[in-house]
Amino acid sequence: MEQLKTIGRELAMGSQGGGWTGQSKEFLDLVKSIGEARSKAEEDRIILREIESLRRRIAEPDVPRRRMKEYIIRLVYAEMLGHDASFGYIHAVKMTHDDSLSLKRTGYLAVTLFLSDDHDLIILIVNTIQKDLRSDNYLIVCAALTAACKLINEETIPAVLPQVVDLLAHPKEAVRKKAVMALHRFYQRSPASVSHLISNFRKRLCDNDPGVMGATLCPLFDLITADVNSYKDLVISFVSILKQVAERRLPKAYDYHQMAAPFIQIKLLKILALLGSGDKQASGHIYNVLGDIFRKCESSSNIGNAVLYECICCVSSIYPNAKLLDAAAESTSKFLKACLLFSESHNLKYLGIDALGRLIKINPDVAEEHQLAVIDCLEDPDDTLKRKTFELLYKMTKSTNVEVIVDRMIDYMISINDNHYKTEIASRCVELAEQFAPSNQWFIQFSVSNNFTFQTMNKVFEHAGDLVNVRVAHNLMRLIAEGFGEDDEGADSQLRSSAVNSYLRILGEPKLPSLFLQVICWVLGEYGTADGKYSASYIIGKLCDVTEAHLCNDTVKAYAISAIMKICAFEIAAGRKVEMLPECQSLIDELSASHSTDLQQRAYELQALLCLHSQAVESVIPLDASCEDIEVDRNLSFLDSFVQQSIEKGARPYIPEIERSGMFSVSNYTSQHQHETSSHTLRFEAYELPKPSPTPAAPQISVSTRTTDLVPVPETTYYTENNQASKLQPVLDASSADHGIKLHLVGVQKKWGRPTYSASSSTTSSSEKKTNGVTHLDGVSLQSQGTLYDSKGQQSEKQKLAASLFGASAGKTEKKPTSTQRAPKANTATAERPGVARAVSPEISKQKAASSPPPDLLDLGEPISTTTPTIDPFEQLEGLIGPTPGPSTLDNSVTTSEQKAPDLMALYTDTPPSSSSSISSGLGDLHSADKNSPMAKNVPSIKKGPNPQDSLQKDATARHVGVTPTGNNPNLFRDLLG
Amino acid sequence: MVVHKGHITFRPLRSRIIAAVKSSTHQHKFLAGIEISFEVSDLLAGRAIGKRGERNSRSKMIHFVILISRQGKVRLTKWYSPYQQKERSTVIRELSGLILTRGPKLCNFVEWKGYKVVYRRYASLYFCMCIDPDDNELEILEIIHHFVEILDRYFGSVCELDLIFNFHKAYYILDEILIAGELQESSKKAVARLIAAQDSLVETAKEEAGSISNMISQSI
Repeated sequence: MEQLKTIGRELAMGSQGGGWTGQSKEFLDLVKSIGEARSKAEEDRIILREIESLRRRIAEPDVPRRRMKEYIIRLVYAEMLGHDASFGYIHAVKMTHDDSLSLKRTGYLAVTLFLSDDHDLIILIVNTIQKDLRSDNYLIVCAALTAACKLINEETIPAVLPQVVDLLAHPKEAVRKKAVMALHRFYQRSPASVSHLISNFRKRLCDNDPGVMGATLCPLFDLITADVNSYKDLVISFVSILKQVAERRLPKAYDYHQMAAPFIQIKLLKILALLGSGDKQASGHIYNVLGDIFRKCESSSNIGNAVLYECICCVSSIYPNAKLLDAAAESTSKFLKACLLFSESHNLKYLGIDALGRLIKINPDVAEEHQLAVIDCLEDPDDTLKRKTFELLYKMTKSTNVEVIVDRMIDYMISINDNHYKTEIASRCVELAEQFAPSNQWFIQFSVSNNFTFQTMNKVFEHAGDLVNVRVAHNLMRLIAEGFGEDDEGADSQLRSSAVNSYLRILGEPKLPSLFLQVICWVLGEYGTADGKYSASYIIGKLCDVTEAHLCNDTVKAYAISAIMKICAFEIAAGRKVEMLPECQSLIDELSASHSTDLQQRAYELQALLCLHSQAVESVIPLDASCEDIEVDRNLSFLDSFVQQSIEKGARPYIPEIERSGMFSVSNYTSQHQHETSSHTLRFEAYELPKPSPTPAAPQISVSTRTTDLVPVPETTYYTENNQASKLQPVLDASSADHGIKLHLVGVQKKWGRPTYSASSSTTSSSEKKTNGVTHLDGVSLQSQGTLYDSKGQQSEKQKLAASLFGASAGKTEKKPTSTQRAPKANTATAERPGVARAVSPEISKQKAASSPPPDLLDLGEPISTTTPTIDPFEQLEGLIGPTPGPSTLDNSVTTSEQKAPDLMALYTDTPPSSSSSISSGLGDLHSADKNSPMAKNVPSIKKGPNPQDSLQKDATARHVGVTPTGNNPNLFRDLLG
Repeated sequence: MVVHKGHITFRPLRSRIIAAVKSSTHQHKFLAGIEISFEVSDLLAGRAIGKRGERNSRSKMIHFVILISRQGKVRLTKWYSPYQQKERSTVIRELSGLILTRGPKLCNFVEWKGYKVVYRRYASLYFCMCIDPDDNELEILEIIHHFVEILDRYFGSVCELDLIFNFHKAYYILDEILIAGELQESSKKAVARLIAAQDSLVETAKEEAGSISNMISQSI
């Protein structure tokens, strides 16, 4: 027996092949030949051949298990090189069933590499995992847990969850740690399924083994990200853990490059940053330990810097503390300055720039001393560093340096090929330009050049960037429509005509992005003939060319035909005759037969418009009214005389719906119910969508069918973003908090406006003498000329650039008190971003409107028909069935219903205005104008018209009274019941 | 033995497949059914694509680890976020184009499609990890180094050849360091201990298997 064993061992070793560890010669040859392959094609050939032979062999009936293991490893290899080995998955799954740990591990490894968590074979593994989780051998349990992390999906979590939870108390720390990670993974997959087990994570935080504690930080970080407030109590624990870690209380094994457990420190710092964010009390606990770490951390090693960087992030995130901010600033400057001492200086520069970006949010002074370093990074050949620097510049942009920064960004944008980043930087440019636009002319210029660069971007941009850029286009249109100077009409019209000129020129370009074409069409339609420079037929011809020459989609066509309609309307209104160009006529014909109903409608509208009288046309499409608010007469007061007439002729007066249906508890109950639900939904919509009234959605219906796009919805996102940003800056005084970025900038300018170049005043003074514009020009030309200058010249160029970036206005404003600086800034800010004021005012006006709506509003056919779809018929039925226990309760409920009446009124009054306003804002002038006349006739009929809500109530009433409804008129019952 | 086992545990799937294929009880036909199920799963790949949003919403994790040689040959890949096989190839191609061309003195981070890739070169091998944009890059750089140090300790002054021929061992080690894209163990000793324990058990298992098969072959 003994002998047999030794022989067997020898044989077993021998069969392994002389190689590294247990692979056969075949496999070694395979790897070698792959290694020697000279091209990707050759490699592919080898692997394909290998896959073929594996496919054949693996399917043979009696493959020895050890041979099978090697096959599986070879499959992993093939899959790793990007080939499909799916025929072997099932064998890997089989291998996990094996009893031997070696094979089982290989099986699990292969399965985790092969299968995604939604693969069909997963169900075959769950059983094995379950069994292995119960194994006595902790290594098998570990292997099963590792596999569970990758493979268990939402459906199969319940199958293994109890066992994993049991394993949290396993005697082996390796198992506990993996169980924590598995539970964490389950939480990520499906938070609901493990929500009752979250307390376990807290328990594991106190685990004796630092490894388990460290692993527990991962799930806790996720949990705290999701819900900060329920973990505030842990702040003290985290701080004490961090303190102990920093004091080297953990076993030596956790040290890394002479740092005490740096990875755990970093994780803790991340968690504390979350917990301390905007919380003064929690932050108070953190200050001490942060200070300690700042002191102890040595910046001579990478890992030390990693911890320092995390400290800076933490400091910038928690409630600010002057001392810590100083320490953070000091570390940041070390990052930026100590570059020369390190071989990997770029990494530190990168982190330094990033840290600077975080710190200037809190204290704009920080960046001052690093001006040259920042400029250096901007000129650096390293793209990553450059981009990070642009990010920093983006954060520190203010009205004085916006031109330089955006010019730089555009230069860079043109120079790169990466579409993803191109899109990002383009949207940033536009965002900055909108926020700070120093002059309207500049903005248009900028947009034009910007759009030129759009051309060079290919489809990827159009798909990826559409979301951002639709907003951009609409903002651009709004800008042209509204102008900048609020009372300077001349400047506005000048802006518009220059826009028209430049766009007409641009139309000559062969290929334009569709979004840009939309803007062009809109502008031409709105202002093409405004200054009288171009004739209507010229513009119309151009617009027709747009639809033909450019490969355009329906949207562009819609914009074009609407623009033509506007121009025609202006012409008719001005009393001139419009002669139809043949190409225009053919366009109209083409569109009237279009597949798109939208285009059809526009074409027919245009044709109808041409037949109208000039006065009618003028009222339908007034000149330059895109910015005017549409007033919706919610009282329909213009109908009063008509109604009066009808009544005089013997028509029955209108009875408000409440009075009609409010007689019965049942109907009352249901209607209340309905209106609660409907009011919820409606209110939701109304407040979510910002007011479209001020801007392009305006009377020009031409664009109005597109209003879903045109309604400046993005505005809200802007504001929320800004508000979020301001939340991060608790330093700002309370008054500034709700103004978002606007006031934030005030702070920036105040700080940054100071004279900056105290050290090298001799060189800067010369540049400061120049006007703002000149320095700006220098800054731009710098890039191209930079190489010609000698080093000294470069230095001064850099300083100039720095001056323009960091303190262009320094020379002029240096002696002014900050308050004067602040005031004009505030003015310009409001002027530049009219949306702020506008977003507020419609809100107010709406509230006013909502507070005093007339009762007959309720029967406006339009709003009700739109509210009804949101009502769930089942809820209505429930409401009907619920309070129908018997006639005995009837009396009671009648009285209660009467008491409830006023409440109901309130509910009613709230809902219709919001619904009608959202509708009317969506509809253009033409539509409402069209509808006005039929509506007048409809008013009486609508009252009786089929309405699911009404009919249900009627039904209910009928059942109560025991009468089958004979007519549609609810008043019938009212009469019956007195 | 293996076949028998497979028979038992595969039953649930078989019943599903039978419904689709109307197949018989034979093992071979059953496997044919599996092939079909793969096709179906490929059709269902949309599900995985649908999960892309999930990948974005997660914060601060490592999305994948790739080891590539200077020639752009793949030495090891580990994906923690769902990527289809095709995507994987594109990712590797794009990243090797991006990283291998970078000069030696530039920083070790690359921005890529809204993510950040942290890479570090050891001799002729590049270790790359993809992370979310707001994560601590320097930390990831050190996690790479941590991994390399453990590899070094395990293989005894590790070289590229070690990883080429023993890539599965490298996978085992990586599994002990990272789970689901998070650092699970920062102690080199703990990792080394666990790997050693597994290896020794594997060795004994190997011996047993060898001796048993030997005994059987001899006894017959």
